[in-house]
Amino acid sequence: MAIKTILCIEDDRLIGEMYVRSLRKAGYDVDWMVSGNDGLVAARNKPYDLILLDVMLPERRGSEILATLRSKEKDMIPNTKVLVLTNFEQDEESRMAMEHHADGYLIKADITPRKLLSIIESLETPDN
Amino acid sequence: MAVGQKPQIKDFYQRHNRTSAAIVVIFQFVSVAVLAGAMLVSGILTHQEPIFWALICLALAVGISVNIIALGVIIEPMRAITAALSYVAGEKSASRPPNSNAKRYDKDGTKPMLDLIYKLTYENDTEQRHSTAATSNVPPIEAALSHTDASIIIFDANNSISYASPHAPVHPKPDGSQQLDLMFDSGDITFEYWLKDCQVNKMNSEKLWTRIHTNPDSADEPRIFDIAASYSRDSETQIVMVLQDRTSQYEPDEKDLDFIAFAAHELRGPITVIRGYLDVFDEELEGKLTAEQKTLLGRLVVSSNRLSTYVNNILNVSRYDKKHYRVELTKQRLDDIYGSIAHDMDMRAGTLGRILAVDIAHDLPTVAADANSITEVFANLVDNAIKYSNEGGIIKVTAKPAGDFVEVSVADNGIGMPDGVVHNLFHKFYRSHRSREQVAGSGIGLYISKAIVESHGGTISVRSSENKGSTFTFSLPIYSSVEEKLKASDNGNNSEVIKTKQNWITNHNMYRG
Repeated sequence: MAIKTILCIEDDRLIGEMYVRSLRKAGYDVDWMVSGNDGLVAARNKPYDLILLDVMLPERRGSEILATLRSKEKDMIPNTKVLVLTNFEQDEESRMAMEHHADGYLIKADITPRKLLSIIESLETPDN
Repeated sequence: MAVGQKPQIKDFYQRHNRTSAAIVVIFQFVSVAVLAGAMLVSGILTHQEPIFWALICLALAVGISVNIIALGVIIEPMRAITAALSYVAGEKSASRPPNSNAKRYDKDGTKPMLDLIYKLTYENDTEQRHSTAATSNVPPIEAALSHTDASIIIFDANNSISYASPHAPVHPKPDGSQQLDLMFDSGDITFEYWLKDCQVNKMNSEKLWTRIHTNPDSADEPRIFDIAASYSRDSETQIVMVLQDRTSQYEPDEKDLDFIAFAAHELRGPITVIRGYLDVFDEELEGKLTAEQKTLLGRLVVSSNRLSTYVNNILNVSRYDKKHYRVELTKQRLDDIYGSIAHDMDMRAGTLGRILAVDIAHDLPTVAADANSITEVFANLVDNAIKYSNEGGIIKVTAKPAGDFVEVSVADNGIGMPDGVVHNLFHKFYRSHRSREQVAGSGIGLYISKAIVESHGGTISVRSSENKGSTFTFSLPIYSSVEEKLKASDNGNNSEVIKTKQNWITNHNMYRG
């Protein structure tokens, strides 16, 4: 599946801006939300190909958003891939991410923008 | 008796004695008064004659004395019976209970009554003791354990739990038997592994575990135990496990772990930005920098990458020490694992003028590995080789099959180490005297590397020669040799993880947190 539209839900402005800049430069159509509530509204209103989802978000945690999109409203985004990004590793968060069929769980400090682009490209391959 | 105080049997005799004495005295006064009146009426004596008053007083004194003595004799059996009843009722008393074998009780006929009181009381006590023992069935050991944080679990010759003390961490299975409700850490020898080893190789054995958590899926409050187990083959009590509940001591450490996780999160934010924008610079300034500027940028990239490794090491050491560290073993190619950090390793070596020669064949058997953990082992060993080698030195990274394992070696021709320090090398914070003088470092990289490799079921070792260099070797199990075991394992739902992981991208691992 080709990925063209991306929703980035990230409250850290420096990190969000860095990702958005690289993604747009690579040709993706990117929307960026800085709160959990705004992110959930945006995800409901537009069928994105990929959501980059931070965990520690104001108003609504990333885990809540993922549970809502993947369980309660799963028909709304059946084809949307979700990459969970965090710097705050917790067993429960990663377990939850897997249970709700996230397509990846990434430690932000361990990836660079170029690495993120290569991961997104790997999501487009038939194996994934 | 004070208000509200319970009446006691022993008070009855005294009260009755006082009442009887009062009646005797009043009766005596009345009797003497009647006698005096009769004497006055009959004119035998007048009330003015001294002899009259002397006779009145004598009659009163003698009468009262005689009656009091008679009264004492009469109610003595009541005193003895009251004292015996008071004694068997458990009332406190300064005097001893009446001895029914005393002659006086035989004489006055009180003895049978006293004997009956004592006999009935003894029979009742015995019956009660038997009754209590029959209904509660609490052995003294359980009563004692209930006052401590200790528990005991005993396994029979079939390895089934034959006894578990009341607060032991066990839960019933559907078939009515019991099973342990403990989660042994995969980084240590698990109870099941130890038991299998005992059954094959040992007649008697002992094993200690520390910080063993109860199963998180258990409905009970989480608890943490230190455990001592002893094995005696074919005994009716084949395994005796003594557990000490150390939750209150270990829980504060768990909170420390939360703090370290939080601190790591705070550090990782700036690291993400620094590494990210350096990556942006590296890409966008390609071809525009002078050689010197490119070198300077490379040093920044290497330093920020190392900083990220240090933070991961600190977090992982903390988790390992608190038994929270877990690896998720999946089918991996070693060249793929190394490939994910090859560029970073090349930069780290190149920045300090070392030559990195890597030879990991693509056709090596696949290994059972937690990919990200093994990248950290590679990073730590290569970093170590860089630090302890000289400028222009060659660092060789090679891999080869060895039985059911693939052995990976990281060799340098640097300063090496004397024999005396090698055995301490994998201890936390250990740094040889020479290391402290020449190279900066925390001494936790090798410690966590050993922990990671051993968590995979592999080993790590070092050969070193002073002024000639060191070779670190670690092994990882070949996937096919452990595939069945991994799929069959019900600890951590490994089979499910392997299945789900086909579509799962992670640069970190699910069960490492």
